[in-house]
Amino acid sequence: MDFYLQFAYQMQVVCCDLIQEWGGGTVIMSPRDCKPLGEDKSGELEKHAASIRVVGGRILIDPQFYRPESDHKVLTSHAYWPDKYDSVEFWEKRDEPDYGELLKRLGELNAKVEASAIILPGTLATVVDDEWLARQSRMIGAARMEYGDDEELLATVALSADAVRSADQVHAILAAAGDWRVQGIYLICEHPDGQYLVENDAWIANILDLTAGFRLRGQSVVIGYANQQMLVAACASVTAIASGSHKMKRQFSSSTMMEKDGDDVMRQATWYYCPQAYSEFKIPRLDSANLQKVLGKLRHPEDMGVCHADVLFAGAQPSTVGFRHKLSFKHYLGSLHAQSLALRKATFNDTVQVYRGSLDAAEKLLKELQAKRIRAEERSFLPAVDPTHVGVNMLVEDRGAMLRHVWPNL
Amino acid sequence: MDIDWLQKRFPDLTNFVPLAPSGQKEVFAADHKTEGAVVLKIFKPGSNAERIQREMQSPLKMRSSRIPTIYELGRTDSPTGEIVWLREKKVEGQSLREILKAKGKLDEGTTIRIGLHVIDVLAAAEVASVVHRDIKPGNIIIAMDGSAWVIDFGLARHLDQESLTPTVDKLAPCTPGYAPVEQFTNQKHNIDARADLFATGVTLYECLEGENPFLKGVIDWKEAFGRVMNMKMPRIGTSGVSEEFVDLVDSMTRTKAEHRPATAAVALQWIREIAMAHKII
Repeated sequence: MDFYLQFAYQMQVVCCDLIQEWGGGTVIMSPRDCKPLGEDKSGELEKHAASIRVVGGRILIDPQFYRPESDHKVLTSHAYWPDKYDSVEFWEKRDEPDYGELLKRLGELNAKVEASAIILPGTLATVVDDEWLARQSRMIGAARMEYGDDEELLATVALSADAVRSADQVHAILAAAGDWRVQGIYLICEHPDGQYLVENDAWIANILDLTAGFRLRGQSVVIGYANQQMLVAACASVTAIASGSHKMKRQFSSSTMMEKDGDDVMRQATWYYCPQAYSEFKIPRLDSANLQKVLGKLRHPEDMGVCHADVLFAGAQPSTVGFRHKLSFKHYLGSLHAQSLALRKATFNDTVQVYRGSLDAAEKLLKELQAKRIRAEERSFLPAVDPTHVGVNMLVEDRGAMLRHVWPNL
Repeated sequence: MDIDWLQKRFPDLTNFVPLAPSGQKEVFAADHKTEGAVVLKIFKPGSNAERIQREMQSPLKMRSSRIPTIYELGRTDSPTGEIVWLREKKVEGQSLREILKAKGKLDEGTTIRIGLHVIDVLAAAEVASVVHRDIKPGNIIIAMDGSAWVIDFGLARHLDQESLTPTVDKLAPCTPGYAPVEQFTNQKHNIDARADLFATGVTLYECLEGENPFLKGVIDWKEAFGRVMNMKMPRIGTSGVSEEFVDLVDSMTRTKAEHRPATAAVALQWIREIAMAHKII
């Protein structure tokens, strides 16, 4: 299981540093966070991609076509975004879909940044119905015509929280996707009820089912806009999860493609990610842990090889050591990277067993800390432990036999 | 059908023995002058001509050595009206149903061999766009040499042809307790080889455990349908059965088609590996 970086506003340096540190890696570029061609004829996306490539990174571009009516100024000013965009006319013209120009320009942008594969445009499915499925098929068909048979293509499957929670809708995707001539899927799932860590059993179970369904067909699956909860997808043999620095890159919301919600100012508190608890704590909570002599329990395991947060555990009061956003992001992403690489085991049973064990360990630790009034608040994994367990149980129940059999070849 | 009339109409055949009737046809075992043991199927006057045609087409379209060869077919007048008849090779042996009735259950090696042969037929059917839709112990013949043969394509669905079951029908032709949900609820667009894999999985389970949990103690077919819809087929509990084979049967009997092996070819490859590990092939 690999880990990709989801590019975010002003995160160019963090991306380059991490790619260098890891000796390579993939960054999914975000057009909404990179201004297109200016007077100097060089867009930010191309510039950033070039510097990421220089340090050994691979590039993908998320076209962010989730909302047809998007009015986000930066996103819609990219050359590939259609000038005269009319959602109905553009998407529903069945005989002669107007995808040609869009795909041509998107292809040019991908070529410029030397992308390792092309992520195809795909709209967010509020409901997976015949219309959305037909639109997906038409886009994929047009892309195959435009790019030829040899190009590696990833189809975007972007789903609303309601769509993800419906097993019937998830199965409708799998039934229809048998004809999709793509090598992989870029899976984007909105979170229900604005939850950062999702407490809905069906949401988790269906993401695992969908992921495993595609993987069992030999297609790669990259889950975008993921946070630590999506590490569970290792059990479904996901190819990679992608996450970013800002919360909006770890919890997909299509509203971020709209101008009014496009505020990227860093106004969040600084969080410390405790990997063994799958939870994040505000720094004052670490002060409390220090005071109560249990700070060591929150320390990330040394063998993870992630050192950006070491300063928090060097003996001084955590809030006084200058652990700011940049270090917080690097620690979070570095930890997820290490956890992603470590979670997949040689067999399906081992992978599931290790992951379940880690959930139990996280639950135990969080309860211990909670007893001392050290809480991770809205980023505590505690309420998500049971739903995540249920998701894994359903995966084992429904697809365990198949996954056990084919695991070495996935 | 009167045996004397059959004797006169089919002079090359002797020793007619009535077999269990099946659906819209009467079935007789007989001996042919040159072909040896044969089965003569007589479709009753007024039978659904399209369905008869589909039944005959299925073996002709498929390239499988584990379905009886059709020697001849035709139409003729009879005392009860015009009939369609078909003469095919008779596989000498017993139906799996008869064997299970006598023995209760089978050992793993025998069950793997049966599974291998049946899934081999399903893979050939898949290539020919045919779904048998009625795999069950009664439609599997175990020949003298232990090989398994699949018979009776009377319910076969040809995926490259128009369905014969009206879309408005709430129930499609099937055998309760063996047919998967998507089949008996007439979800035509969801019917493919995975429906036959389900029925085969149930059959293999029955071979190993000696019972079909979807049918055990049921009062009527509605209860059987309800169980298939709502009950998870238990994992094989007989000790000594290899985990790989248990997993294969488990995956074939998943309620949702999406959770079964994607194709008969995938299942065939899997059971071949199991058969090789057991030195069956």
